[in-house]
Amino acid sequence: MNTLTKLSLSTTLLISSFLISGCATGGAGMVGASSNVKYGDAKAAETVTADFGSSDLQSTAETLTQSLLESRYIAKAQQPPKVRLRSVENKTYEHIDTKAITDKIRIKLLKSGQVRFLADTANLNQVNAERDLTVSATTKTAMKAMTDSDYIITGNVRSIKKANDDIKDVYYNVSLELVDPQSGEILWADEKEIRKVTSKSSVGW
Amino acid sequence: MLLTKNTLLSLVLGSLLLLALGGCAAKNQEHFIGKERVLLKEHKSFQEGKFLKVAATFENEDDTEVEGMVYQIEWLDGRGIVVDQTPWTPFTIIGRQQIHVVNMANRPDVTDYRIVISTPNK
Repeated sequence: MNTLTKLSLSTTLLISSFLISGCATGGAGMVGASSNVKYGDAKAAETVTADFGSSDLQSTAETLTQSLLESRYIAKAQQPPKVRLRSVENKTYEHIDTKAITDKIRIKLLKSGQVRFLADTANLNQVNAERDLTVSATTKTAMKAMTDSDYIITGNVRSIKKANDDIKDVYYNVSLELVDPQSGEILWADEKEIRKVTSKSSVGW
Repeated sequence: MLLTKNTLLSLVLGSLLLLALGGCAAKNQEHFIGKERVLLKEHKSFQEGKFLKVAATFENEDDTEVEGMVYQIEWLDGRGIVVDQTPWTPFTIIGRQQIHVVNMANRPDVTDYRIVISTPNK
């Protein structure tokens, strides 16, 4: 009888431990809650390395969008101008996805409702393929002429790096230009400067 | 005479109430996470075309201490709902230095703002 009680007690303990460990591995709507992977703030200031990172991308897009929205060619326009994004050249020694910068600026400008965008030169093949498909599918469709852009946006990303045994200094300069494609005149230009210093001795933070 | 006194009293009370309300509103527009190691000296907003623009001044009142922190501006619409945020912007401010920052909302429906300052644990 005593052995039976001990056996039932240990079985109960075993089952409860299984149940408890089952609860710990995940709650409702969660998988792998006890793992080392955590979701962070996407807009957090990231200082993992001195390379061009998410914070630099976000702050660049923010500053240049604000500046562009303030420019009289956008702010004082009677109707939202039609803009086409051209490429932003990466003149640094590291790989920077410059399209990520322009895409972010485009999203912000579109949300503002002050600017209309035409398909990028990179996506024009897709647009033309769709137009060809529409024409071959139904000949009744009258094809609209492609719209000309009022302005184009181009730019450059540059960096200057200096380092000694103790300090590594990186300076990024992202510049954008708004150009009238008819006259070739540069109507607006602005830049975002970023300095990042990696130091072996702790200063400040 | 009595009427003039009453009018004067109500005017004084009214302006005091307005001042108090204004003070509350300014306080609601500031939020510190962690210790208040930097002073948000002043901040004001004005309309720039269709967009709300905010200018703020931070000051490090300490003589020698260097402070590093991040700030973010939350953009609120007419209903008081956060519709957009700036990325967390880092800045380092040395002793007795003042830093001026200007930010503009990218959406025309933004009518109010809140400045959030976060200081890391030392």
